[in-house]
Formats: sequence, structure tokens, C-alpha cells
Amino acid sequence: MRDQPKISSKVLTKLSRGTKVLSKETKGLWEKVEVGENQGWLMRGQISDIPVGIKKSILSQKIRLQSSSGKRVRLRTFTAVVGVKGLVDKKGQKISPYKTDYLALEWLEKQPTDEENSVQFVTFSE
Amino acid sequence: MLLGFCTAAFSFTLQIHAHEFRLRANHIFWKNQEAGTEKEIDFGRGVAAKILGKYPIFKDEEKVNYVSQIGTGISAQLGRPELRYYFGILDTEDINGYAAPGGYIFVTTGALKLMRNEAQLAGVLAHELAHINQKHIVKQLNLQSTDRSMTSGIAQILGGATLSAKIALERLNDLAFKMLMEEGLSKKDEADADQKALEMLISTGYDPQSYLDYLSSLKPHLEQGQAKVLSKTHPTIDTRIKILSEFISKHELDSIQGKKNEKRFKQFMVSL
Repeated sequence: MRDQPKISSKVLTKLSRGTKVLSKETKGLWEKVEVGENQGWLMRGQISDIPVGIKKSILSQKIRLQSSSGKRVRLRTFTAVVGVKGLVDKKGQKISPYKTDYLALEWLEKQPTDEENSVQFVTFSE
Repeated sequence: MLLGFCTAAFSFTLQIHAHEFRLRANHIFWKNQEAGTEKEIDFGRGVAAKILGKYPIFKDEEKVNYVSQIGTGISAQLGRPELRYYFGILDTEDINGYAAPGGYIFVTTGALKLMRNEAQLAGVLAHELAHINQKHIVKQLNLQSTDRSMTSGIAQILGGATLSAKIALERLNDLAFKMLMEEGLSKKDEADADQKALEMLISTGYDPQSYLDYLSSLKPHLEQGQAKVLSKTHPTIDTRIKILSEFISKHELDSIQGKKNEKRFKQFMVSL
């Protein structure tokens, strides 16, 4: 949080991720905010109106749905089948002209990530 | 109501009629924001799978991890907190970056080879991140309901659990994929993503000028066709640089210098 709406301005304090701030005023790219008894300026991209706490791993949830044969299937299984077989309409015609690769996507989704570590990683300066 | 929608969805998806689809989607209300986000991810996953159907994934774990750490370092601070972001590399000489809704971001090996430092990589990832943050694809497909809540139309379509609803979703995925590969987003959205990328670079201490340098370095490749998709789907480089330069002087950002981390970038990318 800075004293003035300028990048060259003095840093008053560093706020940790998830800190609640009250927006008072907007000036260009900057928002004047109130934190407790302190006031200062943050760049607008640093503020979000969605609380940090609601983040969760949505993809791990199993979504139940009904297939045309009446059997209940898991969405990810369904999309995997679509990926392999190609989606067809009643006449057996392929309805998407584009190929998919869900195996590659799942490989990517399995790669480890660590947010705190990554934030540290981008603070490094040569 | 739901049954009625699904039946209708089936009859028109066979004809692939986007306009009718949008009208239909626009009349649907879905007020649960969290559910909207889940559906946005499901939708984006389908688009990401198509991107990976076109370009093979690059599996050098050290390089993927490096790109992912830079991307995650930025998205953890400046991305939508309710999303988990994935950063992948596409194994192609084509020069481009892609973002699918819900948090899937890709950069090509062709683009990585052209980059000179970490700030340029951060800039390209930030540009893609901005498309997801601003929900550009979803908005361009005109899928919000009249109450403007998040991705409501998509939520309702995926909410329909029948095969016909899945076919409707598949059609939407195709529209989004075509937008990425052929039609492009609007010029306004691209300018917005460029400006947001600069803001993100400044917020995370990276050199903003490096991003403009990267855009300039694309120019000769547009003529050679290595950035064919990019030139088809984005405003010209001169336009993009002009808009960014105006943005920089308007907000007095020209004196800002930041880190480039050229050595670290080269250390990871040397064998590419």
C-alpha cells in the first residue's frame, strides 16, 4: 500500500493476501483504500471483490449426470468418452470437426503447483 | 422448464445455429455464482481439450514447471481467487498464447523461443490471464443471462444433464475454439488484455517495456506465417503498440523499470 497513487511513491505497509480493504476513491489505475485506521493507494488489479477464502478444488467434485441410455455417469468419464469416440448425433454423424486430447489435459492438471512458492519465485530479481 | 430447454437445444444444435443459441441462452436465469464458476470451468476444460487436440502438449517437466511458477506467481496475486489456473506449453513452432475459460493458459514453444527474458514470458501469460479474468470469451459468446451474473447461460446448458444438453455444450466449445483459432476476440478485448498485462507486470515488479519489445519482435514472423493464427485473431502489432503507448503516457508509466530476469529465463530455456 502506497502513500500516493504513483509507483514511485513511498510504500506505507505491505498487506498480506486476503486482507480486507475498504475502497474509498478511484484515480486512474489506483484505488484509495482503508485498512483499519490506515489509508493508502493500491493498484486496482491487486484488489478483488471475491473473497480469497471461497477458492476450492472444483474439479475433484464428481458431477452426476444422466446419459441417453438412462445410466448415471460421471461427467469426466463422459467427456473422456466423447474425446475418444467423438460426439455423434442420432444419425451417427460426428458433430464436432475438432479433435480433443483429454489425456494431455489430465497430465497438465496433475502437474504440481504451489501458490506461495510461486509468489516467492516471481519476487526474485537478478 | 428444464425439459423444454433440453428438447429445444437438441433441435437447433443439429443445425448449429449460433444466433438462435445465444438468444435462448440469454433468456435463462441462473443466480448461483459458485455454480456459474463450476460450469465455466467445465466449459473451459472442453475448449482446452480442443486446443490440445490441435497442438501436442510439451512435456519437459522442468520447463513446464518454470512457466507454471511464473504464471501461478502472478495469478495467485492478480487472478480470480475462485479459480485454479493451469499453465501449459504447446509443442509447435507457431507463435501464440491461448486462454480457455476457467483457468487454462497455454504458450507455444515457438513463442518461448522468441522471448528474450522472464518479463516477456510474464507479459504473455498476464495477457492470457486477463482474458480469463475479464471473461472475454464467455462475454463474446454472449452467454450471460439478463441479470449479468457469471456465465449463467453456460451454467444452465451444463445444468441440463441429457445427451442433447451435452451436444449443446459441445457446440459452444466449438464456437469458443473457432474464436481462438480463426475469428479472434474483439479489438477492444485485446487492447484491454494488453493493458491489464502491463498493469500486472508493474504490480509484480516486472519490466513493462519488455512486453512491448516482445510485441515488436513478433512483426517479422507475422509476414513469414509463423504467427498466422495470431495475426488472424489479433489487431496489428502497430495498433497494439500504439494503444499501449497511449496508455503508458496517460497513466505516466513510462519511467517504470522492473526486473527482466534474463539469466534465469535463459537458464531454463537454453535447451529449447
